[in-house]
Amino acid sequence: MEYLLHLAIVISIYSILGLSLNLIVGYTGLVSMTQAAFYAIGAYATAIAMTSYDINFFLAILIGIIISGLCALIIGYVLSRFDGDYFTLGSLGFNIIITAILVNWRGFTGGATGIPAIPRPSLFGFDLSTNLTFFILALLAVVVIYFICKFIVRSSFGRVLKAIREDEKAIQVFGYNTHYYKLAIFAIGAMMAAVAGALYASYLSYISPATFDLNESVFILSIVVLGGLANNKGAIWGAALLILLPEALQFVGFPSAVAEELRQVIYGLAIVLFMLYRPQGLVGEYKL
Amino acid sequence: MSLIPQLILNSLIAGSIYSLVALGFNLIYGTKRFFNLSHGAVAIIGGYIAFYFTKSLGVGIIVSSIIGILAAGILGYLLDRFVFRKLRQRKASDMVFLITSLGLMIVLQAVTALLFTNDFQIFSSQFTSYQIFGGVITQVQIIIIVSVIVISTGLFLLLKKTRFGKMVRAISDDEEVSKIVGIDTNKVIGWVFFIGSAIAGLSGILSGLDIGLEPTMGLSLLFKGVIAAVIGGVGNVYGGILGAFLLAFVENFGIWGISSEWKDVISFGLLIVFLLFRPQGILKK
Amino acid sequence: MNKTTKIGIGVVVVIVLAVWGISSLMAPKGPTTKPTIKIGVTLPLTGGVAALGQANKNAILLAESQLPKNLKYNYQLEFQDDQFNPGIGASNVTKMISVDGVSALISFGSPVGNVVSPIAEQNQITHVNDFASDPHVANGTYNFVDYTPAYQDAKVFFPELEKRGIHTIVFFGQQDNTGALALINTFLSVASSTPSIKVVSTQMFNTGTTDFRTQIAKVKGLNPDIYVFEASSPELEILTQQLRQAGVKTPITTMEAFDFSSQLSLFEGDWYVDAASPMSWFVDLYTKTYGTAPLSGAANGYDSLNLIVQAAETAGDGKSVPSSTAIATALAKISGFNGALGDNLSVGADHLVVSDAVVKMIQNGKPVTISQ
Repeated sequence: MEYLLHLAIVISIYSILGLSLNLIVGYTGLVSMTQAAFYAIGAYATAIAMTSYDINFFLAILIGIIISGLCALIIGYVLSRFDGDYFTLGSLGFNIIITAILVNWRGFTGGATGIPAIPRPSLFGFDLSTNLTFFILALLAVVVIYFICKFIVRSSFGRVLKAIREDEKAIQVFGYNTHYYKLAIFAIGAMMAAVAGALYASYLSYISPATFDLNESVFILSIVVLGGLANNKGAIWGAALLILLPEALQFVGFPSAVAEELRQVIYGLAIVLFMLYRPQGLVGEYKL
Repeated sequence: MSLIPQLILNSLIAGSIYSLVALGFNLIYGTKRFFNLSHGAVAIIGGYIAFYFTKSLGVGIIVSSIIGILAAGILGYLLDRFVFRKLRQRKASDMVFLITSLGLMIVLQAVTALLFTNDFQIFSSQFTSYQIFGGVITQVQIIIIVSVIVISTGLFLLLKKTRFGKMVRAISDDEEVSKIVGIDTNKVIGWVFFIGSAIAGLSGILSGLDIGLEPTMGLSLLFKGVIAAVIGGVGNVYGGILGAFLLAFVENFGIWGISSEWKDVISFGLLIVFLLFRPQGILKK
Repeated sequence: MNKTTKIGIGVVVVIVLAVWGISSLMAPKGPTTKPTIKIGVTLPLTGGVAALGQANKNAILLAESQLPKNLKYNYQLEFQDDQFNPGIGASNVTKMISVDGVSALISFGSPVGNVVSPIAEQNQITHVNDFASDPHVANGTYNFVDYTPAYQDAKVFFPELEKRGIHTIVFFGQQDNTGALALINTFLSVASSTPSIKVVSTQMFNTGTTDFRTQIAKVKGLNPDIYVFEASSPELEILTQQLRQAGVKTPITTMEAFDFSSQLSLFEGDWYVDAASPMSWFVDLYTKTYGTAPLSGAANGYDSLNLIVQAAETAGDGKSVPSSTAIATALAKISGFNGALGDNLSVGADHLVVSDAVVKMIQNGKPVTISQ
């Protein structure tokens, strides 16, 4: 049914975001508050490529991935010098800067008005515009990215990441250039987030900067933290939980005047309680 | 041309507000190093409580402000007592503190909106302004600048001349050793949270008097305070003031030349420049 | 599959079934004497613009209660909260189309509107947005917008500026706000093609700005005839206060912005241009029913429902529910419509229902129309 397909597509998009951030936060231990920026870059690159230049969706995704990766290399180069709170603070700063660019550069991005009429994907003349075909596409993307994450985590590259998480100084002593590893995983996460952005843009057919602000980065972080750090399946569970719960809560009759605030209270309390009593999230392995 | 004097005045005013936030933030950061995202929400709550007493209950503004300051301090103390202390006992990592403070901020902001609605509130539309050196400044803004001088002097005396101050500095150097030496670290940290949050409450009240109040203002106040603290030298009380004024000057002179919608980019750009080239800030701890 | 995964899947299945089950329970049961047409409404009932969303909902409910009893069809409304978020709006609308089987949709605002329009078009469901500043929302056979577009405001604003002998303007715009941006773009483009008007300075800023002092210092010396602000609350009020604190006594004007302010005393004596005021009968009716005056956009909601009902009544034969395509076709042809926003309104070829803008002034803290 259309509605379930819609939910499934949204969960898929956020699963990709969760998986991408999990690599950075869960496995490498870097609390990044700027994932929404790369989500946005992917979305905008795809949107502009498809609407202004008539570029095919799949090529547009590639463009989004490349631009996102390049931006991540620049931003990551700066951020990889820090760890702990400074990394987080710096990443937060970058999110705000990128959102400001999207909003202020009215001539290119349309500013607050956003970009409407983004088409659905098509391949060799086959129109993939129904929700069902789009879901299959999104699901494929999730599966591919899931296996990439699994591969990274199991590899020796992944072991170094975990070592950085546990004790960066210790592994530096062994001669590992941790800056390089942090930069690499940051860029990889950014490129995956760009895929999510491209899917989002084409599915909803309209994007605006408001979708990609700091709150969105916090939301993606919550998916990873509540779902379970350092567990790829946890990222998917987290996405499913945080998307379905508000839909279910819609049926609970909060009085409208205070519904939004009550939702926020529940959300904030959930974060605090998880941190106090179950910091590894639902199914995570890494106890913060 | 009266533009430059006004720009300097504007920078002083803005810098003073940022300083107050940075002062409270730095004090708390000194004892437990994490970016307490709930600090801004506490500041605004102080402002709202003062607003409530003076607007709805008709209490005089000075008494209302004192109540607001105390309320903010108590709130900060309670957050430490029931949340952060537990995390300290568990020796939780900085990340946990950060994310927990994020959750607290969300809750506090929502509760503020529940109690006072999301509408923008102003204390009053009356103001008295003065001409100084070719620029204009209002009464509230003068009070803000004076407050910074008073509070920073007070903190200086507190930290350097009292036994309590010595204990705070000891904990700030090394919490474990302080415990061994016999300092009741929980009690001292509790007081630090109280004082730091009270200062935050003052900044919220003054900001409210100058501009107005809205539940989401806490976050932007916090950002400015944190940038100021980091630029100036995190953990160093006077560094925060230096950083605050530097930030304010760069912002105001920056938008003299560049269009104002880039103001946030300027602020955070300055932060990143410092993180890149002088992460320890201007003044060392 | 390990235990955690099983529990996880179980939880997800339960939530999905619950959602499915409750939503089908909410569909009405059994045959009624008259066929029922369902209309789905998605509004920002919570969040930043909740007040406007609630007023809109009130107005729509009011319109429903005023429907005559001898219509061919029963009309059933369903309301969903979208928090002014396009993603949630898409979710709501997809749910209402596929689960509830609505024949028509009402939405609010350009962000949600832009996302609902393609869904409406693809599913061939009539869709009326009653608060969109972006005319793109009205694209397509099935999409309509009932809201005064920015160019209507400009048609009245610029002649008024000329009438009052205003030549130099300093402009402040909150450029990251969707509604304000539409007005900003229109103002700047019309101003640039009006020879008698010179915009001596354009100051843009973003939402969340609380310190305008330096911008004000920059423009103070230009001594314009008037200041034009396009901003929303609280930036509008903070900017105005700081302008006055800086000693500037020049009047302020705007297209529409005063409508969103809760501190009208700041603008006492200022004239401005606004979207058409609702008819006094509507204001009286709304105030009597809800105890408070209708907010901006409420009258548009009232009319949107009536437009849909009129179209459905025209398109249907009374025996079975007309197709949404027929409703859309009928809606596009409506003219001579007497609504809350005025008499003799019609649906334009561009699917916009346009009413005129008017000049108002703040007197005694309230907006008063001073010209038609």
